[in-house]
Amino acid sequence: MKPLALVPMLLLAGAAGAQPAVPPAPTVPPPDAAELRRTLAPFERLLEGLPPVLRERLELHARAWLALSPEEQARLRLALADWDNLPPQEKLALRERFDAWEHLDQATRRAVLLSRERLAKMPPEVRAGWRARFDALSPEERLRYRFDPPTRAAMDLAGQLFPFVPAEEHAATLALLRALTPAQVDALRRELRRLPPNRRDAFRVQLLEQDAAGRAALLDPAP
Amino acid sequence: MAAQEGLLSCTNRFARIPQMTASDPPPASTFLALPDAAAGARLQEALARLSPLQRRVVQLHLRHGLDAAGIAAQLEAAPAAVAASLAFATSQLRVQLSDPGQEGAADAWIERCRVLLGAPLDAVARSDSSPSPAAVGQAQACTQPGELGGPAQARASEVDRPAPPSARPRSAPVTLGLWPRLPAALALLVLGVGLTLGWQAWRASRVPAAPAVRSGPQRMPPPSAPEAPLTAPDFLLVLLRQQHPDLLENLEFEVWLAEQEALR
Repeated sequence: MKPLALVPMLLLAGAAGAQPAVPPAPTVPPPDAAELRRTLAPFERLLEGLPPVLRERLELHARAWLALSPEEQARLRLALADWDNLPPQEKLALRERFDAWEHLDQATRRAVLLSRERLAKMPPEVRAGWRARFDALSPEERLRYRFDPPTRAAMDLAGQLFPFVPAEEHAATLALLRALTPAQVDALRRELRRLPPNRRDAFRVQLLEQDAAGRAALLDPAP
Repeated sequence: MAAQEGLLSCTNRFARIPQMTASDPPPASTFLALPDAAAGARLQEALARLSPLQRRVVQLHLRHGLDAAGIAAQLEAAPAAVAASLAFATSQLRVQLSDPGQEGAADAWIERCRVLLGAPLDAVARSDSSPSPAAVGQAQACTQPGELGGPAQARASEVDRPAPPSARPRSAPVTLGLWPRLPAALALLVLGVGLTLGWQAWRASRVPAAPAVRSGPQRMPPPSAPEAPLTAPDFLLVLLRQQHPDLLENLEFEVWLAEQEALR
């Protein structure tokens, strides 16, 4: 197999979990178009055969690369080489956390980066105090903070309304519940209370099959 | 071979022919009754209708009493081919010169031919023995139909007189197909094959030598050497770890802390 043939599969593996519900805001300034084309020139043939998702992913890499200084680029090369030497289990765990990071909404990400800056400026004993308070939580409570607040609310709502969701529909159901307005959530609660238990999951599937307008027609109260 | 044996039997009876011709003369209109000049002309005409090989074979037979094997050895030709030529020539002469109506003169025309060709008298007696080389050389020299001997003593003496090889008339080459020329053909073939092989060897020596092939595995360069490692599947992950160390390892704490500060 040609080396370039592996690139789409590798990019796809990296992009599998990189489908954030909320697209991340650009954290790097847009580079010069000519410089971007020059950086992507070695991948011109590859880009022609890539699907749009992977093409955007590669262009995102190029923009992030161009935002780095030459020293940072050199460090990144070394870090990528070191990454290949990590144990597979450690890389798998870090990939899961990076997937969770990319699924955080933009406000949560920004708040996290700001809090890190503030914490770094605090005395070590203060930082240790915050860490001790977090470690006092139960493992289940700590694990919930891998998600942003809207996702946690949707998880709570899903646990209340649809306790038996198939694993392959978890993400879609969470996205559905995250997209609902508070009024639609109240309408959903009322509708599920009216339905017998054996028809509640069929209503969930019906909502999944609808687009936003169809869901609004089902959940919004008639004028 | 049957024809050859028949001819040999004919030559063995030549000794009795003079007594037969003396006791029973043929009619004046037949070949036997013609004068020598007319008979010679008739024999010359009959010989002219034969091929050079047939003519030479039948002359050797009539003049020197050689059988087919002897003629073949003398001409360095195949005995079967000589026998066939001798049988055909004899039959042709018999048709044109013999007189079947004459009793006891069935083979008298052969004796007349022998006399006209100037054969030595002892040739009849030793028709089964090998002729002398000189006689054979004289017979070989007489290849044209007009070169007759016999009663025409002047012509016969001229024809039978030995001549130097350079002065002998140039006779037609004896060809029995490709067989006599086979050694020459083989020599030409060998020469051609040798020249071809030599030319090919010379041509191969002029071909430039192929570039030396490096032995052992060689590391192939990538088809496109990228300037940036953009195709790394974990590019953004590694970049995030470089820009924000320990963020992923403490992700839950960082999110919790951000919410705690927001609450304050």
